[in-house]
Amino acid sequence: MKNRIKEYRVETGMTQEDLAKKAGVRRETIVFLEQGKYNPSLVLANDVAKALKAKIDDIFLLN
Amino acid sequence: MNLKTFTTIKLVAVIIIAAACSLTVSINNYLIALIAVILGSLFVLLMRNRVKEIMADERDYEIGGKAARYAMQIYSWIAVVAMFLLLWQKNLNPSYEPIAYTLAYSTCLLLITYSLMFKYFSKYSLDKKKTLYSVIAVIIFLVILIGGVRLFSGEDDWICSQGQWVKHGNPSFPAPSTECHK
Repeated sequence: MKNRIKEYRVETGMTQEDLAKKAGVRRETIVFLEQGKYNPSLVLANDVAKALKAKIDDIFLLN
Repeated sequence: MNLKTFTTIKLVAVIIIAAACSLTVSINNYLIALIAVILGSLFVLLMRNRVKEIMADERDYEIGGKAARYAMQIYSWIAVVAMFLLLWQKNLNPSYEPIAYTLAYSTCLLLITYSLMFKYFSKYSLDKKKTLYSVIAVIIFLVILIGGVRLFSGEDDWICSQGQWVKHGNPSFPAPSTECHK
């Protein structure tokens, strides 16, 4: 699943560590998410979207 | 406590436990080694609860689950093949038989524990940690109880009688090498 996490993260001026803390996961998970190597659960997707102050649909792009 | 501090504490604890185990094995007192391992593990668990950073998240649990399943399958196959090979060759060395049965029982225990845990997690939420810890404690207690009764019941053992080692039941291991002084 493609996503725009990095784009939004950079826009909001957050580091991967900051986003990880806000979303309640480890920094490595954010790395894998941004690279599209891991599909998050709905809960995590919601937490990431909330941390980036955006909607899930804007960040995660279903094929 | 942060993660770096916990990692250092864990490393120190592991070194101390390893040193204690080496020392107790050299003086032939395995009870001290067992106590060192239990106390050390409890200490590390206590310290782990004080870490404020996130140590594991959903991705770790997902990967851990997959890794555990594959590890269990690989171990089970290796254990079963090894067990049959050892039993086939037990005439070459009498110690092959107890090793084979140890492999068999440990594999059974692993598979049964996995089935119980799978059934538990498919019914209950992972949030109920107190119930989970209680279930784990009960399983460990039952294993120790059954193992203890089996090992220390005196059945299938060697008994010292009139200066000779005599079979009691059908022990699968050879007579003790120490002298019999009764």
